Amino acid sequence: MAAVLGKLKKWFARKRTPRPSAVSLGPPPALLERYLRYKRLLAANSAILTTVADIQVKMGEGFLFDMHYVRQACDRLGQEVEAMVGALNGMAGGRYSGLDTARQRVAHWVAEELAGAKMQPAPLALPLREVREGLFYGGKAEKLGELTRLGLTVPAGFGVSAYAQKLFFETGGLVSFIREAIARSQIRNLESLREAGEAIQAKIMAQPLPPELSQAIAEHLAQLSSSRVAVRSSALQEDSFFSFAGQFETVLNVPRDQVEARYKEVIASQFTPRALYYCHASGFSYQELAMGVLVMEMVAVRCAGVLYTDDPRGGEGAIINAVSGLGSLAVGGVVEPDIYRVEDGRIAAQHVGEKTHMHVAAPEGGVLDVATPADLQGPCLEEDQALALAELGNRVKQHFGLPQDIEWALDAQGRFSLLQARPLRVSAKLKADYLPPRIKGAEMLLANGIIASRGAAAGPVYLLRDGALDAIPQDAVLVTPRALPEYGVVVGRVAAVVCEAGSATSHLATVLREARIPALFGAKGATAVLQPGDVVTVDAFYGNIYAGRLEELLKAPRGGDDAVRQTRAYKVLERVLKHITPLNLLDPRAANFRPDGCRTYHDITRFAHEKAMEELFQVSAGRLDEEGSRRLVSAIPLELNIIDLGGGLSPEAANLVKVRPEHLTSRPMLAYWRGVSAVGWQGPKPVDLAGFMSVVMSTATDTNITERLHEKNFAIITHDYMNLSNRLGFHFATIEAFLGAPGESYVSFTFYGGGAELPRRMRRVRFLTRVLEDLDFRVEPKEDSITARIDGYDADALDERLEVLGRLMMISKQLDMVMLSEDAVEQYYREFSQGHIPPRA
Amino acid sequence: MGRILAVDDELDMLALLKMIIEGYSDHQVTVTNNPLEASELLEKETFDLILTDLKMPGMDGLEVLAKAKQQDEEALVMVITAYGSLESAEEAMAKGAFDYITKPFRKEQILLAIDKAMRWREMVRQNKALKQRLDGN
Repeated sequence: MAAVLGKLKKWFARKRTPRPSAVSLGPPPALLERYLRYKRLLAANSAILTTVADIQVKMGEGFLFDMHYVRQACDRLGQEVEAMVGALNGMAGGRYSGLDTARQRVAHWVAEELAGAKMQPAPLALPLREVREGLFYGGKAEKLGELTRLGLTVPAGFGVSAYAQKLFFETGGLVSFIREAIARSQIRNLESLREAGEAIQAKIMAQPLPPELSQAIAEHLAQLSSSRVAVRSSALQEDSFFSFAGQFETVLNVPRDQVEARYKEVIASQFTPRALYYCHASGFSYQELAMGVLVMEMVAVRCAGVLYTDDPRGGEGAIINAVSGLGSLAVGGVVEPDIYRVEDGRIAAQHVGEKTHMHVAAPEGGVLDVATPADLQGPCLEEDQALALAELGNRVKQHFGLPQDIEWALDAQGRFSLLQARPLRVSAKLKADYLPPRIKGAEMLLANGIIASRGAAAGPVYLLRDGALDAIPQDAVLVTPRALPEYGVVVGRVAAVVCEAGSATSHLATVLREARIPALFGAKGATAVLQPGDVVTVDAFYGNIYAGRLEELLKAPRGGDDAVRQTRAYKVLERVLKHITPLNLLDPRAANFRPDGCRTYHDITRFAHEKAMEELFQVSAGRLDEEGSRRLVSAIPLELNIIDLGGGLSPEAANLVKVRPEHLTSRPMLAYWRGVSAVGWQGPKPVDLAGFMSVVMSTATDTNITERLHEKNFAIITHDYMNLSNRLGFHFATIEAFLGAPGESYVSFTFYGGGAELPRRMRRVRFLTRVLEDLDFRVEPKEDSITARIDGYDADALDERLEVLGRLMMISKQLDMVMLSEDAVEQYYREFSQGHIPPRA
Repeated sequence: MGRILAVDDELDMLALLKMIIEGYSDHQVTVTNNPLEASELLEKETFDLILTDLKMPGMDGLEVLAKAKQQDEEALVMVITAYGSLESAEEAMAKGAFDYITKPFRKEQILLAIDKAMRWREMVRQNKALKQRLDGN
């Protein structure tokens, strides 16, 4: 007895001994570091998704941007993805080194796309019908090659590749001569640039062609029947630099023995002061200044000109310009050409120009400007010829899928030849793009959604509640409470997506923009207002949803501009984006959710974020001690140690060993605590004898539970984070919450154990599952344990659920003891739902 | 219909400006990627509006602005600046630029800005003419 009393005395004495005052109240450095890494990772995640969203908007909505923007955006993405992977590896002790390998792989692909296709060795010359894309013969030659293969009449000829130019420049010291001439010239002195250009041109003209190139040109010339040819530039980058840096040389009516010299002249014509200024600024490279050259038989023309398959000013029909003789006077305004407008297979308008003079082939070579003989001053084309030409243009347009700007010639026998075809930029009228913010007379069902992906679409409403993604019908308007990344699988099936929560920089928004599926997020009340099966029109231009199908909206152009789409910057960005935006890692439970499954920056971002949450969850898994923690003291006899990693407690608590609930400033902790204190400690449920015995037996046999019974309860908190490991009665729960930006916020919950025998514990798990599912948690029950998680909601919605979770924990703390039958599950579920879950909005 | 000079060392941007402005309005655009050439053009020709990038190698947009103002103190200059370098745009405004626009921008933005500048130019012209008529009376 004395021994017992002695023990009791000792115990009481221990209880009263205050903690040593020297104890540190600062958070444990390892914990703090892990949390700070997580925050860095979140910042990178947000920067990446914001940058991706910006790129998609700039590309999809007709913005004018240049390569500077493209490079800057890619650099920023590369840096942030690296930071994100670094932060994850920092949290996980380098366990995800494979992710860095994936990152390096993607970064390499992006860099390659930015650098552009490297010029590969190609045949020095090829007959036109064999010239195709990817061989570096330039756009003009490639298009004519295509038309030849299509069976259209193109003068016989051959292309000389850009690779041949490279070969030419690399022989006889041309490259170093050009580099030195550029370096010597003064960027601030136009005259100096001009002189350097002239020196380079003279050097090119003086340099003999390499023998193999000379031979290739001679061999191909021998295949042609005409004694005269045209030598024309065929630039690799027709639509950027070359389109306005000045017309490059086109030399008409060249005798065969002068082809080499004219070839060099065309090549040399690139070195204008403008080009040299450009080379000065960005360095001389073959990629920028490489061109193919086209050699074609001269056509014995009667007349020639330009055909626009569509009116470039946006009017109706095709437009033909025609001049007598060679086509070199058809544009440029020196001679007034004939103009024909062809609409619906008839001549809608015709104007015969005053063609005072014309270009003809000179007997000695070159072009002569002569007075137009009287018999050629009338209309160049008969009506049926104009119609036939327009029809020819139509074939070319249909083949390439875009309006075309075509150079043509008509010979003395009345046969048309095509000399060039390139995409025509047709201007849409600016006013035609205008769409009113509100459609008159239409019933608006919802307004002010966030535009996650621009556009408009209509379809029947499909309400998605619990992940039944397979059941979504084709072309439905998907309406869902939140924007989860795994919904990305609906791409290709749905017409539009409406989410009540979510932000424009979420994973799902990125995926939908990529697939050009109109989407509205943050459309509060959508799941209540929109009725399943009802046809609605989603206006993701202004953020509204209308009843019925509104053709006016559906016809509206989604944005973007053909002119912009033809620039180099756009094309490069389009290629680069293939390594950035697609999301292959949709489902964390899928087999490909691994570092080596990451094919894009988006995959890496998603993977790193998911794994970082897992790593953070582990903060409480290690052995925590009281060092750096304070006791939370309240009316509820719940022993809880608080570790504040920053902003979780008010400044007044800075030096307190014991803190009170009013010191809490952590948003998730406050929400949870509201729930805990609303229920209070109602004491254990009345336990029957069988229940009690079951506790004794199960605790005695489950070593895991006996070990954990000695652990203390800890809450690691910051102003927006909480990781609370909790023992209530005989079960263990970990509740983790991050209440930040919508795409980052989540609550996760694990629960296992209990005092009663397994069937009763399993019943409690079933009870919890039902409640948690009602709260929109994704729940994975397994025997007597549960993992559950909710994300895709904004912080306010999660705050509310944390409070309910607090109530749920207190109510269910010893509920397993009384779970005598399945009826009890139903009864307690009903009681809890009615008493503690706020009705839905 | 007005004459516009566009100066930008980024060739893509120049190509786009020309395409968009000529495609959607009646204005004619002369382009150069070299501010020195721009300076030479300003001596030889007159433009209703000058669009210039601010950061270019060799000579910056502020010098183009100064040159334009030297040639014609009422010259309308709109500067184009990359997002994040608003200070230099403000400096340009202080030195007499009519307006500025940050890139990337939508075609509607540049077209409206040009429209505004052209209207202003027209108003100044009419004002001048009225004043001359009044002075004459």
